[in-house]
Order: sequence, then C-alpha cells, then structure tokens
Amino acid sequence: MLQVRDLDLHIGGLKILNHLTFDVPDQSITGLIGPNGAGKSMFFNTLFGLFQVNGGSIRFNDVELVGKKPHEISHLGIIRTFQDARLLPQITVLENLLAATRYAEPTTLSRVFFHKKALYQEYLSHVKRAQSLLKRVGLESKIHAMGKDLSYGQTKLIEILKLFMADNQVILLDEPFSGLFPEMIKIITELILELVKSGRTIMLVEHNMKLISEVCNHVIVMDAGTTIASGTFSQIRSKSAVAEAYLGD
Amino acid sequence: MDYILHLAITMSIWGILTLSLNYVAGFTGIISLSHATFYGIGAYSTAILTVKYGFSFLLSVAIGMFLAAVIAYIVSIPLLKLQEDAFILVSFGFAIIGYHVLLNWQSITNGALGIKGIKAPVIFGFSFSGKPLFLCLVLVALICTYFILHRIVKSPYGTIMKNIRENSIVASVNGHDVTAYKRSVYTVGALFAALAGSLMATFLMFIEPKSFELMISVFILIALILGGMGNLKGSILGAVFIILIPEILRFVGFPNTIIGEMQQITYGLILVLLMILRPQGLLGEYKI
Amino acid sequence: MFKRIVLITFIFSALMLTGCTEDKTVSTSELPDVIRLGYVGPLTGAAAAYGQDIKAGIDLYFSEHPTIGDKPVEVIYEDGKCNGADAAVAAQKLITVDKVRFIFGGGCSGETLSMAPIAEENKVVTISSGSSSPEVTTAGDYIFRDYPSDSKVAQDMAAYIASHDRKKVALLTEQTDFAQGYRMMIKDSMTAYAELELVADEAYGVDNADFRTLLTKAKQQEANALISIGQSPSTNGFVVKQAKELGLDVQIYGPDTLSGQEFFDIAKDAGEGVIQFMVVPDPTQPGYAEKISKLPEAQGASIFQLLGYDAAGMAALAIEHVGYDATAIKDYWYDMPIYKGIGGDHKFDENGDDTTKIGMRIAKDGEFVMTEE
Repeated sequence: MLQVRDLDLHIGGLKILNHLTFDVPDQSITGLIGPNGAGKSMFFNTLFGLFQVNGGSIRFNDVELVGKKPHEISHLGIIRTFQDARLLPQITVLENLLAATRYAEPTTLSRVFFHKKALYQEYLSHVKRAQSLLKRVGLESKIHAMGKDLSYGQTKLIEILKLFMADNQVILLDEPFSGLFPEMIKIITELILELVKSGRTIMLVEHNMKLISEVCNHVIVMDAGTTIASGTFSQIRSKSAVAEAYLGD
Repeated sequence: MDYILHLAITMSIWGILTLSLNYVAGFTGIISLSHATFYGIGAYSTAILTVKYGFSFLLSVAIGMFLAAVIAYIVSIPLLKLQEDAFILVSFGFAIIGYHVLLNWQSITNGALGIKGIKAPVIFGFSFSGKPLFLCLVLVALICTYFILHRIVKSPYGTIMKNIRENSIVASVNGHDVTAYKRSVYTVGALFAALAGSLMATFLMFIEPKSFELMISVFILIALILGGMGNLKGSILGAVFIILIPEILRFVGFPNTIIGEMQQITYGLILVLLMILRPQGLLGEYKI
Repeated sequence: MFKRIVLITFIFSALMLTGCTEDKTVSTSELPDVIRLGYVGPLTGAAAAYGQDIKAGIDLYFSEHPTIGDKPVEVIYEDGKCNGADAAVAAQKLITVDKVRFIFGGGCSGETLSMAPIAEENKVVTISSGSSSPEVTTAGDYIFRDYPSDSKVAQDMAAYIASHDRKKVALLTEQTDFAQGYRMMIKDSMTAYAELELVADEAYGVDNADFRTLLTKAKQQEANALISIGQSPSTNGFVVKQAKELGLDVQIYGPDTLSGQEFFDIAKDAGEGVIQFMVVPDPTQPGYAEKISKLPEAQGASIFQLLGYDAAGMAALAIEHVGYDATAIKDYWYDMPIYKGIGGDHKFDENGDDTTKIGMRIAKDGEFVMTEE
C-alpha cells in the first residue's frame, strides 16, 4: 500500500506539489490523470528521491520513502519507466536490459574477482531472460544494436521489457503509450496486464481516457499539484470538478 | 636497438596511463583532468622512498598506489557531487593544486630541483637495469593492468559503469548506488595511474614537478580520445600513436631553422584531422 | 589467454636480450667522414627563447668553422620542449640512430638531468649552456656546463649581503620552477652566514601584480634588504615600485630576470640602486664585439648565444686534439686550461661545472651597468 500524505514540492517559487494526498491500493492498477503540468511525472520523480520534498510523506508498506536515495527506493521493489523513454544510446539493447536487472547481491569488485563463477551464472540466466523477452516482442534481431539506433516505438517497447528484468512490487508507468501506433499499444497493454496478473501494484500516468477506463481499477485525478478526486473511473467522472478541469465533457 | 626499446617502454607506460583513464572517463563518463596528479603521486612516492629512505622498489610502488587511492577517495567525496561542467573545471583546479604541492613542499619533494638518481628497480634481488629487462617489467605491468580492467568492464560491473556514463539518473533508478560506484572507479583509476608513475620514475631516473603538470593530464585525455573511449584495446593504440607521431616527425627532415615549430604544427594538424575524420577515435565506442 | 600473453612477452624479451646487443664501443680517435654532433634544447614552448639563442650561438660557430680537422661538421637539432621525457627520448634517438658521441644540451635543467643517465650509460658527452640547477653538478662524469649553477649565484648574493650593512632579508618569489628553485638555494646559502636573518619568506601566484600585502609584512618585520625573484622584468618592476610607495627602506637584489625595459618603465626611479646578480656577458672579453654583431638579436638573452658559441668552440677544440671519442673528449675537458671564449673565461672543475664568473650590475639612470663589489 502506497500512502501519500501532504506532499509538498516547491521549485523556483512554484508549488509543483501542493499537499498532495492519496492512497494507492495494493495490487491495483491505479491511473494517475490530470492536465499537463498537474505534477504527475514530478510525483514519480519525487517518489524516487530525484527531488527533495519540502514537506509531507510517502509511505510504502510502512516504510518512509521521503529522504531515501533513488537506488534505495529501487531496492525496496519500486521501478518505473520514463516519459521521454530513451535507451542508453551508446550501449547495446542487451546491455540496456542488463543494466536494469536486479542481481541477487549488489555487483561489487569483490564479487567480480572472488565470486566470478556465481556472478557469471547469474549473468547468463539474465541474458537468457532478455533474449526470450526480446523474442516475444519480435525484437530478437536488435539484441546487439546500439540504443540510439532503435525507433521510437521499439524504444518504448524495451522500456517496458526492462520492467520484467527486475523483481519488483510497485511499477510506475509514465505515459507508456504516448506517440505509439495502435498495434504497439496493444502489445504493451498485454505486457502490462501480464505484470498485473502476477500481483504487482501499478500506477499509470496516461492521457488516453479510453485506456484508463479499460485498464485501471482505481483512478486519481491531479491538478496543480493536488488531488482533486479519486475512486473508480465512473466515480471520478461524475464529479463536476474533474469534468471542468480535465475531461472537458 | 636502444631507441626502439626506449619508445616501447614509453608507449607501455603510457598504455597503463591511458587504460586507467579509459576506465574512469571512457567507461564511466567521469572526464577527469587531474589524472596526471595521481601519476605524479606514484612517481614521487617511488622516487622519495627509494632515493631518500632506501625502500625497495615493490614497497615504494605499493605505497604509491595506496597513497594515490586514499587521496583519490578523499578528493572524490566533494568532487563527484559536481555536475559535468563544474566537475571538469574543478578537476582542472585539483591538477594545478597537485602541481603546486609538488613544487612547494620542498622538504619532501625537493621542489623545482626535482629528484635525480632514481635507481633501476630491484625485485627480489634481481635488478631490472638495462632497457630490455625493464621493457619486460613494464610489459608485465601493462598486461596485468589490461587484464584486471578487462575483467571488470566485461562483467556486470562494467555494464553498471556504462549505465552511469550514459545516464546517471537512469542508473540510480535501476538500483545502482551511483556515488559509490563513481568513487570506486575514480579510486581504481588513480591506483593504476600511480603504478605508471612509479615505472616512469625508475625509467627516466629523474623527475620534476613539471613532468606532472596539467598539460600531461590533457595529453592522457588526448591519447584516450585518439585510441577510442570505451575500448581497452583502443587505449593501447592511443598510447602508441601519441608517442609515435612526434617521433616519426623527427625524421621528416624539416629545415633546421624551423624544425621545432614545424614538428609541433604538423603534430597538431594530425590530431585535428584525426578528430574531424573520426571523432570517436580509432577503436572508440563512445563519443563524449 | 593471460598466461599465453605473459609467455609470449617473456620469449620476446629473451630474444631482445640476446639479439639486441648493441655495439656501444667508443669510436676510435680517427675522425669520421662527417662529424655529427647532437643538440637537445627547448626549440618550442615557454623556454624556446633560450633554446633558440643557444642554437644561434652554435650555428654561428660552425658557419665560421664548418670543419674540424678537415672533416665537415653536422649538428642535428632535436626539440627537448623543456621537458625531461622529451629530452630523454631525443637524446636516445641522437645516440642510437644518428650515432652522435656529443650533445649540446639540454637547455632547461630538467632536460639535462633526464638526458644524463642516458649519456652516462652510452658514454656520450653533453654540455649545457642554459641549465642552472645545482643538481646538474653531480649529474655525471660526462655532463658538463658552461652556464653557472644557480647555487653559485645564490652564494654570491648571500656573501655580498652578509658583507654589507643591511642583513634583515625579505625574500619574495613567484610560484614558478625557476623562482622556487632560486628560493631554495638562497635560503640554503644564507644559512652559512649567521649574521643574516631571513625575516620574511613569501611566495606569490604567477603574474601577480599587487604585492602590497606581502611588502607590508616585510616592513613590519623591519626588513632592510629585499630579494625579488619574479619571473619577468615587469613583475619585478611592480615589486620595486610598490616597495618604494609603501616606504620600505630596503636594498633590493634580484637575478637575471630583473633586467628588461619593462622593469624601468614600471619601477621608474624606484629602480635606482637595485643590484642584479647574473651571468653577464663581459663586453671587454676578446672577440665579444665582433661576434655580437654577427649574432641575430637574442630572443631571450645574448649570454645564451655567447655560451652556445663557446660550447661549440670547446667541443671543436677537444675533437681536434683527441678525435671524436667521448671519453677522450671528457678527459681533455677536465684537464683543459682556461679557454678564452666570447662569453667569458671557461674552465671546468672536477664536476664538469664551469668557473664562469657571476657578474654584478647596479641600476643607474634607467639601466643596469656592470659594477665591481
């Protein structure tokens, strides 16, 4: 269970997040919607410790996330995609996937030299997993291609595949469908649903209301850094404030 | 012949230097302009400990490497907090500070006068005087450096280094403690730079602060870029080129009145041309 | 893979050891068909002025005397870049490839000291017309110089100050190799005179032009003598000017970097009476007037041209007498009686250092003139 309470983020005199408060139920697919500039991506960034908050708290299974470093957040089992998904350009697709992989123990120099065999075995199993994932989405030929040589759609696909490379409980998806053709959207939706079936909690930032209504079982509406509504899609739809701010109905 | 051996030794030592900077800058993206300072720490440790205090060569190398690692670790704490541009400037500043310490700590380093009479290495009673034997020693050091760094960069640790180079925010979100990795990389880089310094000191038998000033850091970076960043074999190639090109120019036969200037201009032109025609270097996998 | 490479390396080195035995035997006293002499000095870079001046002196000598004992002379020039590593490989190339037995060089002390082990190992004579580091004195049997050691200048300066009234010394030095080297030697030389008191010892950043804080410190310490070691005449000019403005009552001393038009432009009449210790050309030396007119305008200082010329002359003299044999040339030079060159009278002591006199000059009416103690 993810609990956000009175989260404040001020940057340059602007209140990016303003007493933001909501709950994300366990094993839900929670949509996070709102107009541009509402603070949705910034919330993800803040959760990950990429910005220092000015007040409030984010609790995950009773562990306080505020004040933790990004890699510490990751170790708690929280992973994310980025809105402007770009593969690391000067390394291969395989290396991109391996970089997102969680190993049994942190990779240190002593592991490299003194536990060479064990590390290598683990490495091989991760490579196998990466290969089969790429095969599933028809990208196995791109495994050794440089990150910068992939198309936009392929990049977004691999951004999702990264989520399968690390064990996790909470997945934050930042506009995974933006700019994609319908076929791609279908593939990615399938992958996301698979993640959901395996019991993870998912937060999804998205502008496509059709998708939100189909996929999410809980929705939070943000505007100007604060929550203006939360509930099921039909519940929030009926709230006039939401209609005004966002849905344009 | 001795001249070729001299060049081979110089290239090998520069190979170690370039490999160590590749580890830091080419693989991890930490563009350090103070690498020569650690080179100097190794050189001065060996010079001072062997000449003034009669330490054995191996012990002086170990102490030099240890000292460089400690100083690198301490310096990295504030240094790695800085963003790219600021980091380059400050590492620049650190290089200048390092030079001035060597110049002014006269009681230890003999200041501007330098330290002469550094003897050839004696390891377990065996003296490595004479160029062929010394080349042997340096080649062994180069090979060890190559293989150790190769093992690291080919492992999952290397993937993390490159992740940090490409995008440190993504690296941290991927679960890697970027600060800890960068600090470790910077320290290991300093270790091997110090090794190169110890070898150079016993090779030339004389060192002075000028041998470790800022321009040397720049030249190591040039050798790295020339050979190709992110590729260890490229570092060997870069070291060979940066030593070889000026040597070849000696034989071009410029008229005596302008020989020095013409060699410099031609050398500069060659470097510029190489950068225009192939900016990632000869074997590079990474463009800054 | 690792083991394979190590094995290959050892085999390769073993081959080098056996196959690469070089003939290092010294040539006989017969003269070769062409007498090849080497030169290593700073032809480019910050010290290029001095390297080019020495070269000009050598060039003039051999244009006037193109043969030694009817064999033509060829000087092969290499750029040392005022850098130990570069000078070392240049020397190695001259010795191995060009087979020289004699090298004019280095210019900078770092060059000379890096070349020394190679010269000693190969028994090649070197003579420097520009290196002033005291370390060169003990650099080796085959290492000579006709430029005096800074320690001599420092000693003369200390001796002079000790023999005059003002003995409370303030020492101001710039953060350069040259000045810091001097600083060490002056402090060293002063220890021989118990009556001398070093009341202030301050170093300042390169190209600094404001010395008021440091000079005020010196004044507070009641300094009555000031040694200014700035890298350029203008820097020294500022020191002198500001010392007068602050009302310091000091006798000012400095080395060769004092003199230059900028010194007087900046210091004006504050520069009067400043005493300079340096290696100076003596215009009364026979041949001086004639040669100085033939030499191009000095880029650094004419003394380097004159000493380069003399080094060439002494080399030619030795080769003429004993042949192109480095050991014989070395022995000849140690025993050589006084050589009257255009840069001064030369005689090598047991270390290969020259007995060139240090001159003293005093600033009078806007220029430095020779003076006797």
